[in-house]
Amino acid sequence: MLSYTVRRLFSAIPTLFIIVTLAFFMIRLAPGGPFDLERPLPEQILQNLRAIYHLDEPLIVQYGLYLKSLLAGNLGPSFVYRDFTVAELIANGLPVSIQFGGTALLVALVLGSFLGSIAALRQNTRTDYTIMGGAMVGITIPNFVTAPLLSLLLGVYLGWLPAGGWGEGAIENKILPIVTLALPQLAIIARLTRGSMIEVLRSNHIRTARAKGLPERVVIFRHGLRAALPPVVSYLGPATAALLTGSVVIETIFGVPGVGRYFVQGALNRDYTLVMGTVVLIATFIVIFNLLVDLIYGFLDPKVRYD
Amino acid sequence: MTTIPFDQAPEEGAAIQGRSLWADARRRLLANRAAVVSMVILAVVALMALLGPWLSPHHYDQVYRSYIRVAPSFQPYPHGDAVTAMVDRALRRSGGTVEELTVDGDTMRLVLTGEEALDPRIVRSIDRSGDFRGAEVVETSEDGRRMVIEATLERYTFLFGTDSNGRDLMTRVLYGGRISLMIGLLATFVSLVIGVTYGATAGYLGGRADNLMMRFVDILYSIPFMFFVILLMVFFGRNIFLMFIAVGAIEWLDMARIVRGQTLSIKRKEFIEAALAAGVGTPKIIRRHIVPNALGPVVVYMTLMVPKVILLESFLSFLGLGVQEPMTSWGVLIADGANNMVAAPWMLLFPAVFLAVTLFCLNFIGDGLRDALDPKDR
Repeated sequence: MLSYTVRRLFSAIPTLFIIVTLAFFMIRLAPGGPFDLERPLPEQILQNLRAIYHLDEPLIVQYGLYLKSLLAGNLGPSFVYRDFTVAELIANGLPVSIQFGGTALLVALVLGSFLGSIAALRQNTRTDYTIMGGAMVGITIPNFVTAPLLSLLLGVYLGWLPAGGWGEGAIENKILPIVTLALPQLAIIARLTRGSMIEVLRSNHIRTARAKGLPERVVIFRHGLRAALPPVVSYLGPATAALLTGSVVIETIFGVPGVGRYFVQGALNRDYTLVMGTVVLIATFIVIFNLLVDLIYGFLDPKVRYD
Repeated sequence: MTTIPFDQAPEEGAAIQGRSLWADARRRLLANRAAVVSMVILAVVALMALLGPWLSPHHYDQVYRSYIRVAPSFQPYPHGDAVTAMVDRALRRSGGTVEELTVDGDTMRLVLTGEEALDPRIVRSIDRSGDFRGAEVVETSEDGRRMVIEATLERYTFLFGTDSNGRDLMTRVLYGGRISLMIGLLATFVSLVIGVTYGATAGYLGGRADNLMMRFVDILYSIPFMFFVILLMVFFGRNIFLMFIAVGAIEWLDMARIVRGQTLSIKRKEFIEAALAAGVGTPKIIRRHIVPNALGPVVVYMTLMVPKVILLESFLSFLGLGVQEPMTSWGVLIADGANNMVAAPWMLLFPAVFLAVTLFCLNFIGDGLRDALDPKDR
């Protein structure tokens, strides 16, 4: 399994390379630059700035320089947040994003697989229809609608939770963002679990488990759920990567200081290094979580072999 | 699952009428209540979006300065004593003081007094305020310091209220719907054309060409595509027509895979062999024989893609990267509403409801179509 992991990580290098290259040239070819301000800087200062950041050299040389510093593990300085390096910005925001994304994911996974199993057990009854109807709502309504609606309802009208703002990370400020992050994932996980659970419940090993008189709880949650989870797990790979690296919408609406907003801000400000930093971050997360998914598969399904 | 009753046994001698695959699918679809209801609602929303801005008395970017963020109401505005404030605003620089103000139906009657003789041209500034029309001096006292003016009140109805610039929200929601739906359809069409052509070509050619073409798709798959849409938007300078193309150009990957899979099975069929034997060229075989036969899953995927694209457009517009003012789309309106939700919740609720209903309908129709066309269920 170790050699499998190492091989997978090596095979991810070309993908990462292509992504970095594409992103680099796209953001560079976009019109405008990081120093285009409302009031243009004096020509001499602009030239000096460009010289400091090597922006005056040919694009291909800059690309080489960037790759070199990337290989050395250096993401470079931010062009717009002058006091920070990109690595510092990410180091500040990422723990917050991971905390939010991770909690949301946990909530979604536990509740989603539970509700999905219930729906599968009561297939085509009112319970099933209610859960699946709710899941449809969760999938259809985007989070930039649920976030303001929930904060309007729970924050403004009912006054149970603060309607927005970060409040230095107080618990009650964290509830709404986590709920809005979790809802769509919960809905998707519930649907996936129901689908595969229905098939699993008809399979032989469940019949055997029932025949040897195991309590229903053990049959469903140990034998059933374990076999029903692979589709959910393979969905979770990219989803986890996306959740942990922050959500632009949630961070904008609730003022959460995570990393999700850096990409959009960076792209708008032409903060080249910040954009590249976030792209590298996301791509790395995707590669890692896809690998993790394949490894978890092995634990869930003994038929999977790594060779 | 609904069971479809067998037709009554054909009468003696009557010819047995076969049902085509499409007729079968149509029956199944029409038996699906959620899908039918969704189709009706969607048609209503689409018609409203298409005709609404045109029938509405307000233009989508017309600003009513006196009606900023007024609540939705069936009663025409102005309500209550709002007229007083309007008169004050209209007369701000005229030097007269209002002695008496009466509103009778649509007519406003104003008695004005001043320190010096009043200028009858005052009526022009009343007209220019936009809240009144046809203002005229009915009576002037001898010394000219007292004047009676009559004007017709402009009455406006704002069923959905107005936004923070004083524009009619209903017209904007409908107009935004037009843009959102149009982007959804156009982007889907772009991805349809690219995906179907690419997938059918790869599948039909097979061998090394197929390998190479699908390898390319695999690489594109591994790219975090939302980020690339955002980069494209930055790159293209927020032009919405380029946005259609950008979104369509990224969404074609799944389509290409689906069509390739279909093509692989279709190209072994006898009618393709017959076409080959008849000397039909490769492009024509793909166009005339492969593509029409692969359309079932494509149609399903297409219906499910329209909501995805609308969502993507709304998301981009929400971030301020999509449609630009004064044009609007549901995403823009929702973003605007989210910023004003405490003072003017209707600004959030109306576009949110329209977007949600449309997405629901499209998803139900897509599911219904899949059930109707899915041969596994047969």
